[in-house]
Amino acid sequence: MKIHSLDVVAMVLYFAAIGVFGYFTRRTKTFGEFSVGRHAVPAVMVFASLAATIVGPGFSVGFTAKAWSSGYLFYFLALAYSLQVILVGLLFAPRLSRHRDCHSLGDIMRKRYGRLAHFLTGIVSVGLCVGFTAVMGKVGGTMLSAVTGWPLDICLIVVTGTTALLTFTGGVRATIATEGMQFVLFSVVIPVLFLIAIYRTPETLGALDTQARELTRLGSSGMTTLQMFGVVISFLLGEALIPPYANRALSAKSESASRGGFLLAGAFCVVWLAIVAGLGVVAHGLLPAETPGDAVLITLGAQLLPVGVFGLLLAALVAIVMSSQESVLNSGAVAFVQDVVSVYKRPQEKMVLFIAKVATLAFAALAIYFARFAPSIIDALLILYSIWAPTVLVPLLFALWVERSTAAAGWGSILAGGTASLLWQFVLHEPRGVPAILVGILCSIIALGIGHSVGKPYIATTYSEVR
Amino acid sequence: MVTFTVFFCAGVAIVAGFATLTSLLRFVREVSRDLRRGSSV
Repeated sequence: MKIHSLDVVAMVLYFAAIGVFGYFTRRTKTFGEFSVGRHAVPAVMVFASLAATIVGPGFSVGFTAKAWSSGYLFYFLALAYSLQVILVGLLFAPRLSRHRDCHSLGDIMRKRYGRLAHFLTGIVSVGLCVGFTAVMGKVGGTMLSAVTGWPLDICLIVVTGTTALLTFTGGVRATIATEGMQFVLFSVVIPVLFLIAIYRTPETLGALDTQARELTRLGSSGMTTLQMFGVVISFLLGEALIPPYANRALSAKSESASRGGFLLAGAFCVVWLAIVAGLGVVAHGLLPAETPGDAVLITLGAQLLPVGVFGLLLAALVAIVMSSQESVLNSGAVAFVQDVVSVYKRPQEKMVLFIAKVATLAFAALAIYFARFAPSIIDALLILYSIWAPTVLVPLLFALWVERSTAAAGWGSILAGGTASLLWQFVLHEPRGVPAILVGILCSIIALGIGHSVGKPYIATTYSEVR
Repeated sequence: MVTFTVFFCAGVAIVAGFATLTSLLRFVREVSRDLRRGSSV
């Protein structure tokens, strides 16, 4: 793809703006600043940061590709995701924000279930964050490689390496500020592309509606009801309260800021997904039928946007990848320090911050390595979803509503859910098409119930005393 | 109807983007002021 020099200028200007933001918001002196921004983030920034993290490559380029082939089918299925964010905002995020002495999900698990559950949560969180970073990096690297023609390995290093350098000095508040900037860019540029596409398409609005209905009907006829149910469950539970989202709730300056941020982000998802799906439908009147799905968004931009503005679209797409990666890397480093390294003996404050920063770089390096072997984005995300929800999610939600439980309920639920999900997926290969995430969650709930009923009550006074 | 609804969504997203810009600038100003003061807030 040929890029005009004005497009390059637009991209350089954008990254210069990110650099200026970086200059004003970086420098962290304490781990509290690095991990939860001293619990001082307002609602609008919680919203922008959450939205920027949620809108990754899957919810942009990937969604347009899906709509190109199956109309609004995935939009309707993915509304379960928006519902999840809204429910978390109503029921769980404010409760998370109450834990002012906690830096991570592991801390909360420790309060209710003790050290082993804390440690297991840390291991799952770190693994998940490295996995997500690798998946995002692969998508970003592939996009960069397609635009520049550079080798994929170099592009993987450029995308994930740049994100790691931005993340490792600043901590969560710097990450949130950069994500805010990225949110502003993509939430303006991509809808503008949609409006231009509507204006330039030779089809009438009525014809586009008919085409959308036809594509959606074709898409839904290619999936069984059980398959659709599995996708809905994955959207509903797979990413619920994963570490980067939970960190936003913990960073919020109050319970209402946390609730407001999540509710706005859930509502934004409804609007945003409609736009990127709409792009896939409208593209039928503008692009040749043989255009590959993953290339629809960029090709549409190259065809419709004026020189210079297309550079902003490219910057927006890079921003979409980087904003998600930044959050996940920061959360992975926080989980490693707080939930793995510090479970039994906490190092001194300066050492904790140092380890967090080194971990950020180390996880980025690991993610670059794993990205080369990552399967396609949807497969990789579904694998990650099927690990998170059956392990940490069930005992975590329980911990947010129940004041006291047992250690066995925590570790039993994590181990039973995780084992069942992995066995169902990789050994039994999902018999009868029943999704692994569903089986895992069921086993996790059963183990939690048994552990809670028969185990010895875990008594923690305050978190600092427990330590 | 469907396309018109998405058309409306595009407008909402653009407004949300510009509206967030104001809060973002305030947030960056606060963070940079805190850092200048030397406090860790």
